[in-house]
Amino acid sequence: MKLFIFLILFSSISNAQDDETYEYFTHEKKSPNDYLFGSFGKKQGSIFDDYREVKLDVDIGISQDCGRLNFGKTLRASVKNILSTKHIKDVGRDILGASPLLLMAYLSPTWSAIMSQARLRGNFHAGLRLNQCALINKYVSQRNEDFMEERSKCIQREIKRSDGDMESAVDKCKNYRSADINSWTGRGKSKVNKLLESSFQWAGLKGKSAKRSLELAKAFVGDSIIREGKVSVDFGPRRVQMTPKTYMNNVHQITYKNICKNMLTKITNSGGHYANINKVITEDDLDKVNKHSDFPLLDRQTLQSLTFLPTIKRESACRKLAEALSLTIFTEDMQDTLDLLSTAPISNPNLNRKKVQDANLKRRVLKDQIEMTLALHQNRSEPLAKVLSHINSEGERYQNLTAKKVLDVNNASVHETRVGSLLLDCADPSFCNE
Amino acid sequence: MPIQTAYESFYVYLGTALHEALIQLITSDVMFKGLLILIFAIAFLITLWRFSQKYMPSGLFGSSSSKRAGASNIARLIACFFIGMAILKVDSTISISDYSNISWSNNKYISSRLPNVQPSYKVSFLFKYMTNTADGISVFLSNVVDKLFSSTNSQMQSPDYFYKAYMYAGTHLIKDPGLRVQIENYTKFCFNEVIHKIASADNSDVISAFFSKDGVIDKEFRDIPLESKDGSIKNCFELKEDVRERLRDYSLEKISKMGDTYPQFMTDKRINFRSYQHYFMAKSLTNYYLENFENLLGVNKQAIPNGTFSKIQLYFSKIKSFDGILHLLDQGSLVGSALTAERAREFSEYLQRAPHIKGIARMILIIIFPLLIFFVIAGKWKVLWFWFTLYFSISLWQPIWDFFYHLTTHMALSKDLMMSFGSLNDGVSLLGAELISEKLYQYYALYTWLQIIVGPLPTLLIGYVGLNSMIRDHREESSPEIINDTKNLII
Repeated sequence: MKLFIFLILFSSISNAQDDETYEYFTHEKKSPNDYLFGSFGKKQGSIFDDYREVKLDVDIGISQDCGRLNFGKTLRASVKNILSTKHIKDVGRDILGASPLLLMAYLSPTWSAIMSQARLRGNFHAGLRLNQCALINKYVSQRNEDFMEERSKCIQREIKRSDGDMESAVDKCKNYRSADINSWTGRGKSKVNKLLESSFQWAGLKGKSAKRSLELAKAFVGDSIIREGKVSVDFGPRRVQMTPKTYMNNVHQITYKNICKNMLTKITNSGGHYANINKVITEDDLDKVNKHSDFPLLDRQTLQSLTFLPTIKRESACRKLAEALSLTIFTEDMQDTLDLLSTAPISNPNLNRKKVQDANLKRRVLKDQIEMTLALHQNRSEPLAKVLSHINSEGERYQNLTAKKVLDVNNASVHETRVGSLLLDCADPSFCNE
Repeated sequence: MPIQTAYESFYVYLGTALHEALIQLITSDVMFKGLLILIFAIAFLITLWRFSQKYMPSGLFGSSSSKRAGASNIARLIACFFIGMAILKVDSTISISDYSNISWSNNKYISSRLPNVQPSYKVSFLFKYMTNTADGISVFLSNVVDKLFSSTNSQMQSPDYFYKAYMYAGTHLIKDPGLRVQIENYTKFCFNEVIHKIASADNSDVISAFFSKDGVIDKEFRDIPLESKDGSIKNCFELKEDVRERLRDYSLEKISKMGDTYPQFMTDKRINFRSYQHYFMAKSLTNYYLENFENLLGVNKQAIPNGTFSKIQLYFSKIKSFDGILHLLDQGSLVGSALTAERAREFSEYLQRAPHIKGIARMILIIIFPLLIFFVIAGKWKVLWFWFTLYFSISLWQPIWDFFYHLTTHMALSKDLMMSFGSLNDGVSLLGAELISEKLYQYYALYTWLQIIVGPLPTLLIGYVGLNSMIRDHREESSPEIINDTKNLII
């Protein structure tokens, strides 16, 4: 029966122009059930949805010691990207106050590092105000911890070897800023170590989905990178730090654009519900929505149902579908990301305790954010299955209405021909259609 | 040969063609020629024998005086021979035409069914004069009836025009998709907004107000905003005007298929073209809503369009129950387009039934006419008179039918129906149109039954009397005369 109706509909494609008038009015009323599936609330977040490229993954200028501290870059990165001006104002003043040390460190990076870390020049430090020294130590210890550790080992090793010749030991270890450190992947030494990526490699997580989860994890919490004496943060190919809410809105916008703008426009331009949807909508079109899921979330039947809906219903139904699909995609993505964050970095034995704590902190923060986002979205989102069911049942109703209209017109046409043949058969000249 | 409809002409053409072919067969076939000579020879010999009996002694060869033939009998037999020859001599032509003397041979109905139809056929002068006489009297009587009793249209110029025009309009379904959508939009978007303000228990024609010009709802409609894609419609009033305009154009287009004949043939000025156009519009709307209702009842229950149509159907059912015309709601098979189609089919049958019967009767008489020679040549010339009376009686059907047509039309145009026509004159009245279509349908059905029953009655009477007189033996049973004479001698 359906096939029959479709054949009639598709055979009537030449009448598509006439049938455009079916949607003559945009004043179509919504049924009460339509309000249950309407979209409410802001279309975008007020803060995070307006993306700005903060480029947090650039070299923030921290070298292995104070002498390599790129003052200009540090200030710029700090002021613009990391900290709010509320926090930076004192820091900036303190750093400026420590300029003699910074100047000396610039001239002799090695000595500066030794002095700040090993406290060999305690008297020099005594001249500094406590908060200045603490700041630098804190800053250096946080960012250069791994390199300092390696250098300390080197100096201690050389001191032993040279029977306490400090000068010789320092001299031999002076270029240790480019020294390799233990790889966090567990495979010897490495010039580059990445907290998340190396842990993923250690765990043997490969493939498309693992790569996507890693990129998402980087985008949400950033990946700490240590290489050749530099410490940086990598936010992945997006180069943008994202919150789960931002990501959800991003997915929603892309999904909405793919379905409601691109696909439906293609169908509408090809004749609306008269179009052969199997030809108009390609697998590539569907893959843009379904590619992140193992099972197809969106199918052609749902799109066909959407095309049968009146304009106003179609618009809200499509938006709701995009929301439900994006929530499903978001949930799946977040689950994968959290799973990976919960396993790989925390179980990685090549990371020291602080790094594990760092990774765990990142996981917890992300988890809290996701939970909060989902909780807040729960009020305005319906499960995908429910939305699909609603769209398809409404689509079927309007499809039947459309089929009824076509059949009614056909019936009226047949009837007119029949009446004409009966009454206008020219059996008398006064009543003749000739 | 004037024929009113193509239905009848079809049979007359068939009969005339077979008539011609039969004459050709009789005149060309040796067997028929021999048979004719044999019949004539036997009849002639018998007449001679009876004639000669007068001059023979009574007794063995004698006969009663009643059986004896005179010279006049021989002369009559010879005359019958020549009359018979006249039946077979085809030196005249007849053409079959309507009352305006336009040949039916070019008619679409005829040419589609008889591709090789001739404009004229060769017949004997006897046949021509006999049929012309009968048809001439029939035409004269029809003219008299038409002049005396005609009310809506001339039956001779435009047979059944009044009923056909109204049934054609009454059985119309709207097939223009754009118009259907506009009516649907108008019904969905605007009806519900004001229907509660104008509907009341004693107002049985609620729907008409939505399609009337300068209706009471216009002011309300102006305040109901709408938005069309092209911006041409801004409120319900503009949509209403658009629907009215489209309906008017649509009805004019469909009426033009009748050949724009309404003003030409409709002689009753009270039923003018304006009211007919409004009737067409109203019936189209009624059928549209009934069509939706039919679908709601059974065809497609899933496609219930938001309940507005259901409400309208309640008003329609109210119209029907209010007037007691139809109680369709209890008859699922007789609502909506099914009823409309059924009406069209039945009306078509009504239109065709009587002309078909008349045509068949004529055809039989025309075909058997050449065969009368076998009786005429035997001296039975009265069979010709009998044939003529039968043919004449059939020709009289037409004036009788015309009389009943005008009579039923007069009856149909009662006071309440004229009020309905008046309401259509003022605007689109769905109730008025419904009343008119129902009554006209009923009266035309009555007329067709009168056609069938009363029209052929004279022919049946003549046929019965004629055949009875030919078949019945008027003489009593008696023994041969020779036996009586012998008995008398013995006694």
